[in-house]
Amino acid sequence: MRSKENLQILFDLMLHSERKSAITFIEKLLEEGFSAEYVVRELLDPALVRQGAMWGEGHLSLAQAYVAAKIAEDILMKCLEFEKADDELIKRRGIIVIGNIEDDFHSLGRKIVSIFLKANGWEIIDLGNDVMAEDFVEEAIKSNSSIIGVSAMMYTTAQNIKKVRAEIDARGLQNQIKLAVGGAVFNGRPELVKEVGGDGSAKNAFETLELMDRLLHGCCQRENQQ
Amino acid sequence: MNSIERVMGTIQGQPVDRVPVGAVLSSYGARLLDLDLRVVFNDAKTYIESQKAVHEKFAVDFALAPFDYSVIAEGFGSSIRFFKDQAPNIKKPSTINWREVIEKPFPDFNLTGRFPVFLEALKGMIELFAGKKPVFAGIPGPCSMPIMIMGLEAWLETLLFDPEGAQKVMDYCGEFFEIWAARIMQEGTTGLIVTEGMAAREITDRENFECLVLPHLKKYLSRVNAPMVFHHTGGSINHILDLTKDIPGILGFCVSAEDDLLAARRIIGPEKLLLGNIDNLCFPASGSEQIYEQSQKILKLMHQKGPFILSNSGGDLPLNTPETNITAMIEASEGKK
Repeated sequence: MRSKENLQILFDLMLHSERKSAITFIEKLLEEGFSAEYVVRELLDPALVRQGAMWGEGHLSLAQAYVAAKIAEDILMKCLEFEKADDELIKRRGIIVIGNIEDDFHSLGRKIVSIFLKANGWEIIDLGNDVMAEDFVEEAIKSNSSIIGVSAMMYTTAQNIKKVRAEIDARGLQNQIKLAVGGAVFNGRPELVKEVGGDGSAKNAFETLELMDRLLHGCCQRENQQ
Repeated sequence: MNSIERVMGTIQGQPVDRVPVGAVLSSYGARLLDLDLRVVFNDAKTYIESQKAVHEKFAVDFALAPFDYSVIAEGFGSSIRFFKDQAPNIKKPSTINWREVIEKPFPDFNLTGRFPVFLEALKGMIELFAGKKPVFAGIPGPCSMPIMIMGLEAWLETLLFDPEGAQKVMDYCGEFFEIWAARIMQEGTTGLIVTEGMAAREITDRENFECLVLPHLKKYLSRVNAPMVFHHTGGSINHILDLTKDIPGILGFCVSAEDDLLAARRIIGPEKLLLGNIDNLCFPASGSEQIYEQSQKILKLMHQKGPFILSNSGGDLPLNTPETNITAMIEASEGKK
């Protein structure tokens, strides 16, 4: 019962962009004896899932999502500090190389995605804006990453993602490295995901969590079969 | 009845021969004349030539100054990337520190970067269409002007978490908005299209808009002595129309394809102008019959429901839009099949 109440309080604070109050609330819970694991698993994760559903339905703004991402980051840092950086608390899921494709400079969505993924146990290598296809693939090989996440805002720049697909395929890495694509243009034209050779896409930062798990699972399954 | 009579008549609620039709075709001339957009947005004469071709080809009822906000970003020191087939874009903002923003001198419109090119193009457009078509110019709203200088992320961070910084940046950018708007109008521009990205539902929810954006928007828009169309900037704005409809100077609203036109009309009342709302994404992806049918549907919906202009909803139409699709929208308004 208390968990439901706590979840509702955190959810409301996130929704109304109350960053300071949210972290104060979490600090109080930790001081009362609730574990950091409880905070992350029972409160933060479900609150993010609920917000994700709201975003999916168009009921959440970028400003609210941005604040939610910042609050998630704050809470995660507080919990790590509280648990003395216990790696078990944040399950290490894997490494993802992300960036905006060649000629694309719209970084905000990518950065929000990065915060959410980090908060959910992914290690993120962010290559920034205007990244060439070969740089994505080189970095994925170097860091032993299973997923490359490429962002593009416009139709014209999204076309450059085809070069990442071609680079992965040319090196015979299609079973080892999955290509996640995202950005405003894919929400308006979902057929573009296939057109540019993406293995999957998510409509927003919240849905990215599920997408990355799915893509990683696909990679692991193939590795086990080989 | 020519375009200027049709548009002005519509705005004033007088009878007109047909519903005016418009589209953002600031880049499209490059397709018609096989030009490189890097040249079009760097050379006023080329821009005017490209627009001449657009208006010879399509009977749209208003003309536009270059729809290129990178002029402003560049003027404040942001770095810009130019493209052959799309409008220039901000590569790197000038700074991400609000304290540095407010220390920057305002650009000199006669000397800095491409401001002189923009003004020459605007002047040329006004001369070209004098007495025939109204000429509008786009301008970022005062609350999204900071994005030109510090980028969206740093601006959101400041706006949401640093009230002192937000206030100072808004005051600085509000003053620049006022001066730039006055300079554009000085050339004889018909009116301004104010694209206020911070008003879009996808960017700012109503609660944050009302608290963080609206007071500044009211303050700086009401200082501009110009007719203004408030533009959706790619996101929905129906949720804030009731809050903005009475701001002095706003003669109408261009709503997004996601916004319900009838609901918008109910909110803004019977006298304000309404523009919209065929989705930009439909133009390259649909056939001309679909565009024609959609246009007809909108025209029927808005028939005798106050001043209305049929238009695309979005920025510049993509260059891969077939010419027949633009013609289809115009023919629907003309009643041709």
